[in-house]
Amino acid sequence: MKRIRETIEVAEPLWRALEQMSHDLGVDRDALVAQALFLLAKQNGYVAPTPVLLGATSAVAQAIPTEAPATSRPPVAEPASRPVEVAAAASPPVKEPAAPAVAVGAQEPAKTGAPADDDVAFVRNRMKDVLASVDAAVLPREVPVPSAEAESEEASDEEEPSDEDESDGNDVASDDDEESEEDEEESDDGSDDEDAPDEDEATGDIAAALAEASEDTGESDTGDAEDEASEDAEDSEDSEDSEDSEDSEDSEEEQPADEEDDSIAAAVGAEAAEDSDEEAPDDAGSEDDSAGEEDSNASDEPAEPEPAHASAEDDEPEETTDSGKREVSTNITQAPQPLELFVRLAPGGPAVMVNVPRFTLGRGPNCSLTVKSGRVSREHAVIVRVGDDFFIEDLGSSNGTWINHQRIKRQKIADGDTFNLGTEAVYFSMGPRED
Amino acid sequence: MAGAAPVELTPENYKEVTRRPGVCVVDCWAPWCAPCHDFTPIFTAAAARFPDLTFARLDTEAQEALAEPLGIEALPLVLAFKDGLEVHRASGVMSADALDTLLGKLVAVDVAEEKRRAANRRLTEAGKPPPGIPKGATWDAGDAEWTFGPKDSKGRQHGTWKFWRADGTLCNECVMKQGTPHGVFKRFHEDGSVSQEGTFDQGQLHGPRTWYASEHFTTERMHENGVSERVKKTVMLYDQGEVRQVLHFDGTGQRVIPTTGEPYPVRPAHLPEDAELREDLDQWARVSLNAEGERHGLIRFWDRQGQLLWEAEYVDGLRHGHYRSRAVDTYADFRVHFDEGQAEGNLAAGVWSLLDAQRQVVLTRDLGLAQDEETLERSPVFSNLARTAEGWREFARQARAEKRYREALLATARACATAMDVQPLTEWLEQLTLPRTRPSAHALAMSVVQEAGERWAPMADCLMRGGEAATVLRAYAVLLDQTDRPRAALDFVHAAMLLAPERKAYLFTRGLILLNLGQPEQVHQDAEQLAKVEPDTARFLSTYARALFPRYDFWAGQEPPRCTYDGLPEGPQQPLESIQQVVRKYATRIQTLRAELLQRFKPGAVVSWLPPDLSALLPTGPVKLEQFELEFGEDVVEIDETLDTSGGLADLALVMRSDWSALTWLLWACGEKTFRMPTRLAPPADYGQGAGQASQRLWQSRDRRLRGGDGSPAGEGFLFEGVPLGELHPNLVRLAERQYAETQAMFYWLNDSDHVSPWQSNLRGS
Repeated sequence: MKRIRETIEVAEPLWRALEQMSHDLGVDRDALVAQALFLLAKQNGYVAPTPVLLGATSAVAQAIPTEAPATSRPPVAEPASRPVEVAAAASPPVKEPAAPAVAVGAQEPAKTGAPADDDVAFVRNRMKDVLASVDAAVLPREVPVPSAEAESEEASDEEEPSDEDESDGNDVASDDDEESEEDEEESDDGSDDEDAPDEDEATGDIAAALAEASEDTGESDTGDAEDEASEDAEDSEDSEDSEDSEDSEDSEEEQPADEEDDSIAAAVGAEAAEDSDEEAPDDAGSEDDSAGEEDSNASDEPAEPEPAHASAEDDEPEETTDSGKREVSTNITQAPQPLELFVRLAPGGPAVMVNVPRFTLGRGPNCSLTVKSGRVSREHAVIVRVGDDFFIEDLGSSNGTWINHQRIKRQKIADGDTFNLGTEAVYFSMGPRED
Repeated sequence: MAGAAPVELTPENYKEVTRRPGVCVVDCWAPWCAPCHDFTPIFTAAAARFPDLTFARLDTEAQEALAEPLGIEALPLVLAFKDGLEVHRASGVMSADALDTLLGKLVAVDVAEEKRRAANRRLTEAGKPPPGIPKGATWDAGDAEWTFGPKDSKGRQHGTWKFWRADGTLCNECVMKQGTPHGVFKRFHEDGSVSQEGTFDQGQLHGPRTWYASEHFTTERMHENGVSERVKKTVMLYDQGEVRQVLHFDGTGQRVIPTTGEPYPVRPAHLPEDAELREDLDQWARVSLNAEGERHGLIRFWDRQGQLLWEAEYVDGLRHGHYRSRAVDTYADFRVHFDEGQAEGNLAAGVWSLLDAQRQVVLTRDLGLAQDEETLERSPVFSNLARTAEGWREFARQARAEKRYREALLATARACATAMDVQPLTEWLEQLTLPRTRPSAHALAMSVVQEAGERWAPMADCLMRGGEAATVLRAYAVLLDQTDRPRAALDFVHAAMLLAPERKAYLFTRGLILLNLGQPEQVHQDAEQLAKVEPDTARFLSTYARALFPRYDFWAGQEPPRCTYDGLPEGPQQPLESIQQVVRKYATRIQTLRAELLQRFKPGAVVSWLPPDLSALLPTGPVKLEQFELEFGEDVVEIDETLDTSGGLADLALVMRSDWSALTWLLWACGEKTFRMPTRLAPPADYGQGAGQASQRLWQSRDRRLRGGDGSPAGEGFLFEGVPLGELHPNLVRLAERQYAETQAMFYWLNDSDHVSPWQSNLRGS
């Protein structure tokens, strides 16, 4: 119980706006506040869309894999009850004989030896209708399944989705791929964020949500799958590579030479996404557990892991002045070295050293420095180093790169320059490496 | 106050009560805090056992003025004062035992010492080391500790280092070697007694690491995470950083069970020395782990009497090798007491034997190849294409000949579903899989479906081990439907229905599959049957079917639009040409969707729900759907008119529904009543109501989704496919929300000449 009821102060103008909105929109104030909070939380990644489960009817309940019981693990510095085990006995695919037979018997609806005849007849008649109707009209699409090759390709090359991905007609997979390519688009555009609820609905398969609640988390949110794909990739590298490749050979041999399989071999399909969904819980579980174990083993409590202490002195208030002096003196000795370029997003803010040949600025997440603003393009500008000089180049941004109210295409950067990416200022300074 | 009921604290008595000499404990609570109510009787009862203490209660809600300065972060909370000084606070519901322990410790608190520590904390805050800490000590903000010790020539910690808390008490002493802990370490409680000791070897814990409880208050952690207060000493045995064994002892030095503090049971004599009690299972276990903490080697479990329950060989966390277990009442043949066989990568493989009490073989069964996840997920048995029954039988025969029994059974299931004859499947299941009792088969299938229902191999493995086939096949149907293979899913759900025709619940699964196959009429028939046993589920299914496959006619204005907003717009603010262009865009999108939907059906097939052809709106053919960025005021707005048509049929149907709504309302807004390109703007009189209604319904839908029923009581709200919003299932509310979001975006664009397109990303936010 960590929640305290609290009165929250709302500034007068905001309160008036709230009242006005409530009146104009015909929506209750509480509803407005709830929605505002939801949107804000969502925008900042504090809530994920959580599909609600259809009331616990048995039809649904039967199909719902319940969440694996949370395995308790010892916190950081307490004694553990027993040596910590990863992939604890929670989900042994081969059953451990622990299932209480009696209870199970009780769960099962009173079962007659043979199903009633009318059930059988009904099922069969309906089945006949259904099959006739489906097979008369439906043209089923074959869904490509990832071939072993494609998968290993993916594993080795997480960032570049292979071309086949795009050509394959499966939504899950293509969503996934798009996401990896268009990450920038999705991730930090305010208006996109707002859009997100709609997008979720587009992909969120309600049928799926209902039928398998536990899949919801994975299914409704392809982003997750994508995130975990990289984990997966790592895992598959880690885990016996040799076995994997053997397996894939096997499977190819085993498959009869159906045409569908050829196409399967060519494409990374739904299963890639599925895969990551599937394995995610396991992966996460084992990681958690191992982390837990590390923690319990960790030396931090009893004996202080040391790197922190070594650096701690620099944080000491008394010593900062000293180190400041030191810096001045080292400046002199290091003067002959080429100067490094540093970028700040605010005067006095943290400096980022331009340390790659093509240092990109923009609001896309793949930029060397991300500038969070709707007025900045995804890849807005780039800093390139030529000898000891640095140049900034506009990358065809919509709002331009500016210095002194002049829009520039390419310009040499001098110490103390301030450029504007659209309306966002970036501050440059030059100095010795700070290490 | 002796033994009396706790005093209710008020602004009038607060100072007097809490500043009395001696100990005063305050139970802070709030009327809305359910755990508080659980704790109250425990707290009140303790008053009788500790007559020398003052017991008080503080209603944090009623006495906000008192509660706020206390900075209370959690309830229930016990605040403890001694001689007027706050000396301790503890949150959460405590057991009577734990509260007694706490109160006992309070009595022992030395107030002078507490005051010294408080003063020390203030010194630390001021950046000065408290008395007793060497001058050169430095404050480590990360660990909130003072640190001091010698360094080597490279500035690394080297030698004996000491660490102090902010209150000046020593907390840690550790031997460092060139920056790494190496040698003995000790941690201390606030009262100076040792809380932990152990030894490092090159930075890794090695040998015993021992915890000691304290009689006094301590910030050292020992009894969290369900470890009983009765545990007074814990020893963890390390081997180069890895925990090998954990032992718990009570105050008398007797080994105890950590969770209860009860004496550790005597290990049956024939069990190996390293078998430990798993009190959660009430079983003895011998578990060996690899460096990653995964099970590795021979793992064995016994019951409390020492009877072997099961043993299995593990390789890096997976069962691999020999397996055997006690299996009474598990298999159909009552004589069976044990089973044994081989596992490969957690999957059963090869010959398994069922043995009687004398370990004589009753039955053997070859479970064939352990077909793993990779193999099965690519298996043609899961292809979305239908085959003839004979086609599947042929595949099954081939698979069986090659000992791919899993595929053989699954192909047989599809053959049976196609031929509507379950006999061959029943026969093959009998021949190929382990025969279990019904309850055991059902329990196994349920547990595997729950734990691994989203994977291909474990469920097939479950079939081989005798898991109940209908449950497993139905789970495959769900999985296939979700991986966009509804036709394959249909076969598997049919096989399940043939095996268990009495399970009406399977109609729901089939209903969802049939939706993905575009068969709403069939879904309605299934819903009718389902309604007899599960009316709510059935209602959901038919509403969902109506929502996905509505009657596509001219929706707008069929009922006069209404909303409760003021200041509504009077007519479109966009020029006719722009409107015509947007009409063409919508028509192009709808035609594209329509074509894509048609592709999912055989040429010439009748698709009853298909929207009418709108090509009349596109006399010169479809227009280009674009995607671009635009500066809009101060922001860059993305405009995306394009469609993703790769989704499942249900996804496409949803997009269609929203676009259809937006287009009809757009035409309506121009004065049209049919699908005709507007040639002039003649907005209807209730134009503003139409625009407002879209927004209001969007709000209402969102509110319903976000707050559940709060905003729209059951029976109220606008009708969505005949269901009042207040009764609409949350998952269906999303469909309504989506439709009105699209319609609202269209109106937003239409009402503001500054907007460029209904597909502006900034028109769908709120």
